[in-house]
Amino acid sequence: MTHRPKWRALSAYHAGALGPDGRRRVEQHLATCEPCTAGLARIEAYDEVARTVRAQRTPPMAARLGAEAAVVASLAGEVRNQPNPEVPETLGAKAAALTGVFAEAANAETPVLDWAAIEAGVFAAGAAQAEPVGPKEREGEHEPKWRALLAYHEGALSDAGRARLEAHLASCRVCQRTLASMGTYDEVADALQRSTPEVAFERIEPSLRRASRRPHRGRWLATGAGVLAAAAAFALLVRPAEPSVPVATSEPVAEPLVEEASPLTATVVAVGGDVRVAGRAVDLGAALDETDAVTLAPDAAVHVRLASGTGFALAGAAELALSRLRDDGIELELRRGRVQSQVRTGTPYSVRAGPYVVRVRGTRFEVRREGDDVAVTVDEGVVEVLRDGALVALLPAPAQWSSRDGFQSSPQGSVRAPWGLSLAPSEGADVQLAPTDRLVRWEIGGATFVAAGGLAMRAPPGPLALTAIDAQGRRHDATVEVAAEGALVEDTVVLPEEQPSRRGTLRPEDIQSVVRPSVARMQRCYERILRRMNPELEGSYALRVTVQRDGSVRRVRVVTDADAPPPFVACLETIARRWRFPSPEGGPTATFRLPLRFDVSAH
Amino acid sequence: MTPKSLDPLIARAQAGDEAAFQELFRTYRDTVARIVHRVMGPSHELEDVVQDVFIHVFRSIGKFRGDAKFTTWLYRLTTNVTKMHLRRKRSRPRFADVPVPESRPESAPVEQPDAAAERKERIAALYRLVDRLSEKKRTVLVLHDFEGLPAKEIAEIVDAPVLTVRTRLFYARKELYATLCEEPALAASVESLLGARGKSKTEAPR
Repeated sequence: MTHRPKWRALSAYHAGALGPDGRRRVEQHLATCEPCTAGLARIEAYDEVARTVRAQRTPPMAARLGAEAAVVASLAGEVRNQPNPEVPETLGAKAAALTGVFAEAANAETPVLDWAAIEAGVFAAGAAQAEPVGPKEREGEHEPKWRALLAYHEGALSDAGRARLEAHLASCRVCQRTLASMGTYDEVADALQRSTPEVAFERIEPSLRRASRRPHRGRWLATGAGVLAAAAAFALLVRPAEPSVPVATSEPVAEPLVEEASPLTATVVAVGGDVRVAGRAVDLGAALDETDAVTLAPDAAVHVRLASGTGFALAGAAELALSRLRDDGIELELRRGRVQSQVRTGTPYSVRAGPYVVRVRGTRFEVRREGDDVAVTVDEGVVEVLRDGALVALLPAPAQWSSRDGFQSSPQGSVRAPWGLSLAPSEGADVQLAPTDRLVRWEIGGATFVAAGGLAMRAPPGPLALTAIDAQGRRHDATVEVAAEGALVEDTVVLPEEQPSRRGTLRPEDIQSVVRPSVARMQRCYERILRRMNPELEGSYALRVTVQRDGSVRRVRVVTDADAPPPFVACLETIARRWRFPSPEGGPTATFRLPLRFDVSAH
Repeated sequence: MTPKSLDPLIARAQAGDEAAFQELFRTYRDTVARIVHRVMGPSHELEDVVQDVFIHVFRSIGKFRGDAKFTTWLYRLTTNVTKMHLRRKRSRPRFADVPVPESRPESAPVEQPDAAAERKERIAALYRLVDRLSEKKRTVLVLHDFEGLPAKEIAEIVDAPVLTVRTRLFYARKELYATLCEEPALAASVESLLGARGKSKTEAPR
């Protein structure tokens, strides 16, 4: 095996950059190594040439160029004759480059050459190409001295070691870069250590609490009204008999936790109109659990995020049960109406509609059910339709199939993705779109909502593009800026303010008779917020209510001097929107202000 | 929380004391969130994972015998649950990254928006590289370099000898250093350090 000259060590030796130990070792090696002795001779020869050329600051240029070119050519030729197969190309190229530089300089009026740069460049290229290549090194690449650099970086080297490494660093760009990478890594890791995650724990607690309501976990159900329900939920979750529960023992375990079906929590990311679960109105941000059933009024809509990138939208008079909500599978049961789903690839997801099961893994599709008739529209991906476990239809998008008519053509884009699937529960701000009878529907991000019932949705802070469709079918576009604390959007963002007209009035006793039965429900809104979000919420509020000609509430707004949590505001507004008053007297509309005072000490 | 006051709390939780679970959650939720955040990096699934961790904690606490420190047990469970999520995440196609806001410590100086954005981008870039590491190397690197745990405790958490932890840490860092310049945001920092080094070659390292 041919021994190749230790170019880097020889260069350092020649430049006098080695310490006494290094110098002694190189000299000992030189005494017995012919290739290295020849290599050192070449370095000295080059140095001499370079010095000679540097010394010749005056013309004659042609003579100088000729002499230099001859020397360089001779040097290159000498090197080419060496047995080392990796050297000739490198130094040949080096010689050619050097000759080119000389020629260029010769042609210039004032020959100014940066000799130091040329020399450094030539030697760096030569050394990098020609130095011994270790098993882990590739041609043309110096392997950084990892351990030495780490020790140096951590200040763990002795003075002598540090001096040696610094001598090496002075000429090694690769190690310099590696050292700089270490510094950069430390900098970012430090920044990361200082960063703290922002987690809305108040959203997690209710989810854990809700888990307690599942029948098979009833053992630890809360026993006293004074005990927070959250604590009960935690207790339920420790029930040891739970099947397929991963167990972390107090001893280190070699195997990681077995991946098992963790429960998912569905989150309402947009809700408009009357949407209920078990008779209770659903608010924006509400968490839905396995076995919950969602029921919608004819004008209502709800968009639900099940997991990142996966969710469904219900609209119209629909009813749907969340039969199974686990990370290894989601099963929905459509009892009536239609459900549009977006499913992230890889998520086992099925919708049961009567005797049919529509099964997918990552797609966008819609299932409609009217009585026993089931129709499926696929806009993306492929779905399977099964009945009694047998495949009835395989539908690649775009496709439509119905249990009555079989396959039908379907235009692409007929199924819209639900709103807000990419928003994590902690992200986004609450956007309230006030109910209005001046508009028929809102279109936001491909989702459609009936305008009359109002809408609450989660949206990322920033501009939010809205399109409103009025009773004449005209489209009105607007962009509202959603602040971090949310936004309240009135129909005036797309329609001009109505001309002031004669104001009507309502008799105070009529107002009281309608409002009084709702006081207890408003109180429950408050207590719910106390429990879930802010145990110290207090403040003065007022509801500003506009009643229209037929006695229904046209607009309601919560006016407050306090920081009102959006779910609390939405809860109050939902109650107020259902009020029915006598027709206003003396004008088409009447507006009144209802003061409310909530005080935590009363609880 | 000191171990002295912790033991009765865990015992109460193991006995099914409902209030103890709530206290346990409130005591350790920041720790768990921090570890999940460190292991996962910027993610919109942070809350989902934190919630999942606590569900596992509450289900498994009856098995905790106190042979190890509770925090070690908690770290182990948290990293295992987070790794499960990462495995699932890797099996899914990547969607557009959703930037996750990070809160600033109360005492931290006010940062200019540009600087904050750059810092976030550097952290996100670092996590893109960390994502390329094997799970074992990633865990050790995150717990040691980002979370600041000593190798001995990491050895207990990952159930490996201390020497193995150090080896994994060395190779994890080496892989990161070698690929750092592939991320433009980090390459710029490297170049600026190189420039600074060029100006002051005699400056000693830390």
